[in-house]
Amino acid sequence: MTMLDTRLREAMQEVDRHLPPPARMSVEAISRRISRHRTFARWSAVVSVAAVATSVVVLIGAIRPNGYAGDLGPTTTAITAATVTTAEAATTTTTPVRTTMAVDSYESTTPMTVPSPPVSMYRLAGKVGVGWLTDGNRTLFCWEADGTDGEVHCTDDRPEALAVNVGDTIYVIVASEERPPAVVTVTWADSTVEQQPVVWDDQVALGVASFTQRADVAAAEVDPPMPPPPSW
Amino acid sequence: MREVEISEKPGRARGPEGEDTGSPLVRAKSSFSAFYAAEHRQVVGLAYVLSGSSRMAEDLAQEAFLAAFREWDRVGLMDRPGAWVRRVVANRAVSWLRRSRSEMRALLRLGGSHAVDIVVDLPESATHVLEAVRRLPSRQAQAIALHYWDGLEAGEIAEVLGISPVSVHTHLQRARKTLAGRLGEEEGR
Repeated sequence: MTMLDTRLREAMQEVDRHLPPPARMSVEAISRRISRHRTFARWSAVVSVAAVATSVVVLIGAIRPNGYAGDLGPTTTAITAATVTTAEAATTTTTPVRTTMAVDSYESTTPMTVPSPPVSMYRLAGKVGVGWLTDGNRTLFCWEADGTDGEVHCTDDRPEALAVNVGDTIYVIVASEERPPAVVTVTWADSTVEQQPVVWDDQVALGVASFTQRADVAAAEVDPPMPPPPSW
Repeated sequence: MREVEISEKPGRARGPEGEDTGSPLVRAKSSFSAFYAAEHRQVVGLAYVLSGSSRMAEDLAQEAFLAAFREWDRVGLMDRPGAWVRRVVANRAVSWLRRSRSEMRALLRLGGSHAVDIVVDLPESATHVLEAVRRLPSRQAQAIALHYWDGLEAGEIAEVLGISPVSVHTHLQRARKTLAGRLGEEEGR
């Protein structure tokens, strides 16, 4: 067996190891699932065509150092996020949820606190060309891994399913057509409070405030209050 | 990784005690369910190896199984219905990947992006190997995936892909040569 054979077999073993367990689905469940996925596929196609042909899909272009406030971080490549409270909702938030799901091939499993309801916090470290697009129903998070040639990865997972590491940069993303001057106040789990201004994107009604993750997020407020970005 | 041969056929389904399980439709469903249970994971894996998207792999596999179910009267009578499903998945996976990459390039030119999830949390080394496989010409990638993932030999791969065993050997040979070069360069960096 050659070295190449070995590497290929090892790669396949890793796939085997990481694939979800076998599904136990009835024929009826298959049909339902197919129907749902076809709807999703049609929707995706509409979004793609719209993006290319009419620029209906709104995009925030590459987030790079000097783009939004904050450093994207030198090497870490996990995309992570948390969900924090709006100013209006902060007083009613009581039940933090913890999540540890990593979304790419790098280890990133530090738990984080995810209060609700949401404004969304994101850490987008080590990515270049990070962007997201929305049609009002769904948002995709996409990134071009540093050092690759056009390899783009996206997820439409709910961002709070992603993990955050202490020391990483977090982006709080808010949406407003008016783009008013705004400040995000984050309360960390160690009770310290930090404020950062919202930097609005030139092209779309989304703004971002960046923080360096100190601890789990206990709460965050946006002043003035704004709705979360569409459809996380 | 595992070679699976499915010989369940409509009309042969039996309950736990070997009894007839009912009407032709019930028997067909029972037969298909057994086929699905035995093959699903391998087929999803094949789709993942070729597409790189676990979400799409699930979709592609489900589409293929649904197609098989719709034609179960015919597909279920085949000696190897698993080969039929694999052919559907392998072809759709490479088509999807090709289309997806085109869309990505187009969207990136506009500053946009496209949905390709990363859910399967593989080690970096495995990811690099699989990416190299996906960059191969379609037939070569399919042959490699069927050989190394499904453990099929040239004759079986030929049956899945509908080409001759000689062609399979050629595809495998060229693929290995390309991969050795790409992965060797990677290691040398």
